[in-house]
Amino acid sequence: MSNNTNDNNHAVTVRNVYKSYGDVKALRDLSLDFPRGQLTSILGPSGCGKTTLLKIIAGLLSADSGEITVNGHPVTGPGPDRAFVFQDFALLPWASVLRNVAFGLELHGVSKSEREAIAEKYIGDVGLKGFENSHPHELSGGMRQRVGLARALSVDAQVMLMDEPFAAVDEQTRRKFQEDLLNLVKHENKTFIFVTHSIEEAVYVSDQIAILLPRPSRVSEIIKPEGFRHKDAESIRRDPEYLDIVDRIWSSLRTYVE
Amino acid sequence: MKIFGYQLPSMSSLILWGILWEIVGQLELNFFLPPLSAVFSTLMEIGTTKMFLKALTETGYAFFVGTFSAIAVGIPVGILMGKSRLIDELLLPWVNMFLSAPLTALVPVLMVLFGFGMKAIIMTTALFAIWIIVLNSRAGVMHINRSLIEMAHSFGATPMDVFFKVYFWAALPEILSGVRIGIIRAVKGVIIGQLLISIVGFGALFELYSGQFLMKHFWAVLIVLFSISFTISEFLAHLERKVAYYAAQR
Amino acid sequence: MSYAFPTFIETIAAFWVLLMDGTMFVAYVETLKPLVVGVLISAFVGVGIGLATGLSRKFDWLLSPVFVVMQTAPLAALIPLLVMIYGIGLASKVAVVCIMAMPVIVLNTSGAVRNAPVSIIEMARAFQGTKRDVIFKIILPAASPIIFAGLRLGVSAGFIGAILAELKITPTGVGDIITYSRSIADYPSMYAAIMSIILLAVIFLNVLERIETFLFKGRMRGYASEE
Repeated sequence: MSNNTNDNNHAVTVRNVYKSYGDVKALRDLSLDFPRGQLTSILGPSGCGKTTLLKIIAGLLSADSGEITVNGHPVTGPGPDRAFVFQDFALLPWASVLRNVAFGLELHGVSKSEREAIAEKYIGDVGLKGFENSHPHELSGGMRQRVGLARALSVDAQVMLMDEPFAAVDEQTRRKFQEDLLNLVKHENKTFIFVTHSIEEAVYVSDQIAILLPRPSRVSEIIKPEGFRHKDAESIRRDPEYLDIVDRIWSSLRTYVE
Repeated sequence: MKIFGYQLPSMSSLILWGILWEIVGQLELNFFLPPLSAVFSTLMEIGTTKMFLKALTETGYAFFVGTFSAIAVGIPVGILMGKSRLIDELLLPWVNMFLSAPLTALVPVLMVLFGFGMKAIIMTTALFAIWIIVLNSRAGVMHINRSLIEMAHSFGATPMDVFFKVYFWAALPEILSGVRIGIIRAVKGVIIGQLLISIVGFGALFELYSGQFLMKHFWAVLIVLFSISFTISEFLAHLERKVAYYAAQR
Repeated sequence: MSYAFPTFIETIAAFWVLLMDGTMFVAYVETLKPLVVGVLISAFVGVGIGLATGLSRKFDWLLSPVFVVMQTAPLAALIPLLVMIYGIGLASKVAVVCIMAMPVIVLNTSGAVRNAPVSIIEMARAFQGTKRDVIFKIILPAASPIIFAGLRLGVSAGFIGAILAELKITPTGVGDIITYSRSIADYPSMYAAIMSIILLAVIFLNVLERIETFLFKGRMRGYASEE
């Protein structure tokens, strides 16, 4: 049941969601709130239903039962209020970077000149200026994901859904992305929902971490790191509270890996 | 496709087409399509006649000898090409050319060289089949993981050992795939050969029946031919799958 | 056997003669008619059927088995039947080209459509693409390398059909040169004609392959299956 007083604070609410694939119960009675304007991570080991939950919020999958609302409106399918960033980038191999970034707008029916102008701005924002006419196969993994990110930003949705977006890039690029993400959350007035299996990553970027236990999944714990959120990108990784939280989460999760 | 929740088996629409054929035939809508049931009963009738069996053996003989030759020559040549740069550079352009060339155009040449009889048909069959067998055998050898060979050498294997214990098995899935496609081409080759070169085997029967407008007989023989061809193809695909379990790991 | 095996020079000489007196040219116009018409029909109808089969489970169940059987069967056996239906004119030759070319085009198109990468289809849905969007902006572009490869194989099969039709149904065009030369024992001319058609087919198919590589360069070119 949606709680009206919460709708203003929470961009997305998930209530009592169940989802099964045949005999496999992916999500069981899962409820979670995502505060507006903040980045919430969904963290858990592989196969615990994180991506399933994200895709249900995105409207790409439908829950067996339960309620999902975005800005107070129930979710019935994909919509302009949410944008998705894919783990494997999901770029059109035959299209240029410009067309790829503008693709979300293209599907929304925006005129060519308008959408290309918007796309160019975001291509610059993610640091790919000069690559507008390149094709995906000419770019590195990190660059491709930036295209995916620019595409999601271009449609100006209030909720950004990111499915392990940095999993397919190398470690150095990944660290850089995490730093960039912190900046992005600070400057964009959007709600971010971020799925990851990396504990360090989650504690680094999140305002709120929801820990999911393996199938059937429900939220086992919600952690809100406070102390180091204001610190600069470099110092966070050495902050004692950061290291503490990482340890805590690892010890509670390790039983599920073993 | 599902009906009432039941998954229909994949080739089952052929039953539907068969029923359609039967109806069209019974209604005598078209001279060329006698009822399917009549075709089957004719099939039963002629299936044991001397004429039919003679056609079957003639065709079968040409097919087997042609295919066997194509395999016996094609696989070793392909393997050699895979192993030796020199031979590969010499032969590959020819193989590629003949692979995409309309081989039918070569049949008159075969007629001139080998006469109008069984020999020419066998050569046609072999010629249709051999190129893809060579190419796939070559590919199978070229895709072998170098480390397997090095491993064998490091344990002291002789060249014979390496060939029979490593090369052959590593290349086998691809070779089988080539043989399967080659055999399908061989079936086409033996028919085209019979249609063009001389009137023996099934080619003879087709000429006879179409000339006398014996549609039921014509379709009966056609169905036999198509079924044999299809069965052989499926059998080989099955063999291929059995060997393919290790294909991805070579 | 040696009298039937003219030297290379004799063959080239015969080729030159045929070219110069216009016989070759006239013959090719005749031969190419059923080939071009047949390939065009097969391409349009074949890709159309392939798309329908790839996009719709029902069509796939209904039509795929037909083409799978056609693919493995020796379709040349149907030639006498086609002659009965269409007579011995252009129509039956076009029909022969069509039955040889269509199965591979249909099956390749169908496979390419069905195997379109799920990831970008999902992406299009995530950005609220309509079904039409998905088909025209995602599935078709993604499938086009394999569709093109299928067309190339179809042309190759079409060549075989065209020659077969000429050698078997009524001699016209290049097939006529071959048959006639053989009957008067003018072997150099026969070899010349055969060589010309083989060269033409090989060159044309090579050009198609280059176009294919050029159009789809850098993309993950899937293999095209023939069978």
